[in-house]
Amino acid sequence: MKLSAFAFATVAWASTPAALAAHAAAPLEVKLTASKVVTEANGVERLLPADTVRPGDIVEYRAEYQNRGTDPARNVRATLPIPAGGLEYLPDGARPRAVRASLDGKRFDAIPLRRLVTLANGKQELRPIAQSEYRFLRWDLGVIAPGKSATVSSRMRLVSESGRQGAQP
Amino acid sequence: MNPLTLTLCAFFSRTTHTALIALLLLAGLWLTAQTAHAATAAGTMISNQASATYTDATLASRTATSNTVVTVVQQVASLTLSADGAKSVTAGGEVSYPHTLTNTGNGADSFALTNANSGGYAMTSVMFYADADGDGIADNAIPITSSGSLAADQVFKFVAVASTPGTAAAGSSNTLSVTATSSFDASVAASNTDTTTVSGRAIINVTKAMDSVSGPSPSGPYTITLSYGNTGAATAGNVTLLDALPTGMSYVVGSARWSATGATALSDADNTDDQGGIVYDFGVTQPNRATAVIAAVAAGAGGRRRIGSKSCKTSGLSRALASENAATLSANRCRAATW
Repeated sequence: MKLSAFAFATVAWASTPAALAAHAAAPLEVKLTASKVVTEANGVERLLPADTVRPGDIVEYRAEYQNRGTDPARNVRATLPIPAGGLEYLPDGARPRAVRASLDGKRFDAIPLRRLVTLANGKQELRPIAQSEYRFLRWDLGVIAPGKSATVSSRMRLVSESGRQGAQP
Repeated sequence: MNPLTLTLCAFFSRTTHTALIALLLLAGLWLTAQTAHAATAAGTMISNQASATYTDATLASRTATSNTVVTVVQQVASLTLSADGAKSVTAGGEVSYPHTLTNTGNGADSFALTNANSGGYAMTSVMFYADADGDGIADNAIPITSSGSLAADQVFKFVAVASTPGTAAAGSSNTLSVTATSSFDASVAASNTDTTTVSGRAIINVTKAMDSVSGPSPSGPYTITLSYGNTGAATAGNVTLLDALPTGMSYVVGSARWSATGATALSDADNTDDQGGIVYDFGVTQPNRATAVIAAVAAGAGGRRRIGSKSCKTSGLSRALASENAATLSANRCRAATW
């Protein structure tokens, strides 16, 4: 019963003219997957489904940008959020490595991010911003030709008790 | 038998307003920092969606967004237990070891409390009791075997009360292992070790209590009670109780009483006068400190020490005060030569 209902829904969606038109007008498709990175005793990494995670786990988000259209997509700028409320960016966790980061999703700068801090003596100095504050990553992917794809990924860690210890002054 | 007590009164004085507020502020800041970095709560749903901007063949700017990926945070059990203890006791006597359990997991959990002991003698009984006010004394006579449900980061204080056999030889010791085990994940446990040595000498125990644990500035007076007892096998002589008032409290002149001499006020100004077995002064031997030298505390004076039926609500301020306002005890020239 479930299967047939699903099939019906798919057909109904595909035959809607508006949906077809939208598809044709947006040739760049983005597919996001999340995996849990597990390092086994022998040092080999495995990627497991990340439906559930525990504090301390490392999550790898992978976004694949595929051009299904007939024209190239130019000036492709890929944005991957770092979800607030638990995940923090892992140093050197992004691929490709040429990535910029942002606190607000508007202004992106090279990593490490710095902010101007007023010191006790009144002087101002650029100081590194904690990576736990990074909220967005951006890659400039340039041109994706028709039928081609580009993939970006980043690793993040779910904050745990040990993370808290490290954050104590 | 009830313990002997020494009481004195003090006010929160206005001068310390700033200091107290500073303490509160510090506590608040610390709490904020802790919350910000706590383990992500179990059940939290983390969703994410990637996007891109690009220009198409007509040079129009376009946006593409991905599917949404949802990840659910699972519960992980974790705890800390502190601290190891070491006490002396007379054969047949009772020892009480305070312990603090903190649920450092990311969800509600309860922890089973178990014990095992070994060594030169076996304890005749070991029981756990709640100690919500953290004074090291059982809150009531109801034994517990579990912490009950604790929210993430919640703290549970309890005491392990162990009875030694009357046959235990002086000098022998017992190692009591106290273990708390997560009920969510039985593979997660923490233990402390309490070492109890049997002594044939005098053993003085002292506890300190205040009739209120927080108050505005200025306010008062508040009564501070030092209860002491000798659970050892020999009389202790010249038992010295020292209690420095913390910054921010001022002493009420003539407010000291000793339970052995009843309602008679102890004089504050002389640190040499014997007032019926006690030499007491405030601020003479050392500024802003109560000093009492009690000539003799007989073996067995005191017994199980309980302070009233006080149930105190603790606050950040009171905890800070309590730790700052700790009484110290020393004894010298003991009549029992083996002190």
